[in-house]
Amino acid sequence: MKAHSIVLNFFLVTTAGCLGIGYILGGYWWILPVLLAMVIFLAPTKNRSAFWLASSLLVAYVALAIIGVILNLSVYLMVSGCTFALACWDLIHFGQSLDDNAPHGFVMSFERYHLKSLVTAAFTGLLLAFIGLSINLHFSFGALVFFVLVAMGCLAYGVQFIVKNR
Amino acid sequence: MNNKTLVLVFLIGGSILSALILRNGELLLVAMPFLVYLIVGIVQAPGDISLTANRIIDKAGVSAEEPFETRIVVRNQGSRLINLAFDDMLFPTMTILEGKANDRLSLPAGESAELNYVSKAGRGVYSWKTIHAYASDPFGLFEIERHIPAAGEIIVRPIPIHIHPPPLKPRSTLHAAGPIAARLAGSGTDFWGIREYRAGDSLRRLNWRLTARHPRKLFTNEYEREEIADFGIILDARRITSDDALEEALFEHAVSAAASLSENFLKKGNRVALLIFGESITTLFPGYGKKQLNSILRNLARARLGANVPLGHLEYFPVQLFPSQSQIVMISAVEARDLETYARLGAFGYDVLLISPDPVDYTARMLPMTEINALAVRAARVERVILLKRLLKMGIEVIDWQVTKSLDAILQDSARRILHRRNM
Repeated sequence: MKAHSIVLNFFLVTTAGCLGIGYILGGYWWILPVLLAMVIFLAPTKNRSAFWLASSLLVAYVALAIIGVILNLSVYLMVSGCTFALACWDLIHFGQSLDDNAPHGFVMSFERYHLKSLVTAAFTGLLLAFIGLSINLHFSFGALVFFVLVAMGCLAYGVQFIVKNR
Repeated sequence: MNNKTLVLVFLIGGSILSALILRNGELLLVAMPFLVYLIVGIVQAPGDISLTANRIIDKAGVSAEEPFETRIVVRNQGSRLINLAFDDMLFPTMTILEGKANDRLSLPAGESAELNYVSKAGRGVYSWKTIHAYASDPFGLFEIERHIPAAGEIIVRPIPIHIHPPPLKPRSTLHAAGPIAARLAGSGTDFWGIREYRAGDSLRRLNWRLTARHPRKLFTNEYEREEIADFGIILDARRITSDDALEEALFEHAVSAAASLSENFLKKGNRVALLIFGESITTLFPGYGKKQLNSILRNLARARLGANVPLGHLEYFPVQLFPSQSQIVMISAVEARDLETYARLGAFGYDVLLISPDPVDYTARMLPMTEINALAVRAARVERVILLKRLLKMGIEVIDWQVTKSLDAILQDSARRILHRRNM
């Protein structure tokens, strides 16, 4: 079994666990058949054309996490679930792009590099989200909109700057 | 922006929008992992690709369906490419037998990677100019696409049909030593006649029996001179029916026959010209040897079926293409409106031999045997027999070739029959 498959299986279990535990702790048992349905839908992602299926499941998962936050379930579990779901979605796509490739040196180095970048991105995202949860700041709606717009503008400018300076 | 990036932007946008609408700051944190993932992708996106590629095909030419190996060495002359994918263009008639025509890997600066695959292909000339390369960040979010020059070409020749040299005897020969009996006295192996001895004649060739009967006179045996001849091959590349599968299958047989006959004639030292007659017309003036054979095979590899233009256009071709009295081997399924042209070719002094792949027999094998089909096949067969008989009456030698049978046996048998008829 390739390294990315092992990581994918681990993340799949963690993803389902985060959402399931979060909802069950809140007393919403109906999440179990929903999770089961998602696993059933996930099975055909072994096929090559499964990108859109995996993406739809990710969108559904994020929607459930948002509903969970609205229902005052554990935000830590919801955000962790989203992070691991993102990692699963990435690894499904990655696995498909690597499919049938002979595991020669450059391919293995690509796999290692990909996993390293993914783990870095996932844990940095989680860390920032948890830091955000522990800092309790209150803004008015207008200020929030302003900060979001500024953040989006900075991101767009940053992207352009990086792309131009390469 | 590819589909993966679109999904991410949708999720980030959706989370932020729901946070704003519901005025819930915690929802913003759901977007955080996606945002960081996107930023990591942007930071690691490649600036540009600086790759060189070299394509090595193990053979310059192969026969159809014969495997050949393609090796493409890609060298990274720029900075490290974390996520590099390259794929080679495969033509629709190509099949990969071993290996893959694409790969995805991480290529450090100054290193080379190799793409290796064994494939087979149908008849044709296949040429590549580039290889397709994509470089992106490790997550495949921001992709750069480039065509890296990697030229290469392979000629896939028609499938050869094994035939022995057909015993054809053209009326006219070229005055150079060859394998064809020239109907002239000279130095050969077949007995031709006897004449009175002339000074300089070899004593080995004296006919002692006749000399003994005529005292004070000497007689010399004469042998039939063996020379090379001019052969012209005309390949009919016109679509006669609307049944594409039938036309293509028969055309492949016709091309193989043309290739094998050309090879046979040229190996015996003869001069061969080629004309591929269809919507586009290819001509190859008479020539000898391996160079001519290569040119013929290259043109036959490129030959494609085209629209049905009248065969009468053949009359406008320059005389140099098929010198007068040369042997023309026409490979055509033949149709009724061509008869006049065959008659004219005969009148111009050409020895015309028609090898006609039989479309009726081929179709009959494909059709389910119902009563109506059987009647239709019978009618078509009668029509074809009448057509071929009319050609025979015009002095055109006809070989009715049922492509499921060996051409060699039919050709040897028919050539012997033709010679016998001529000698009568």
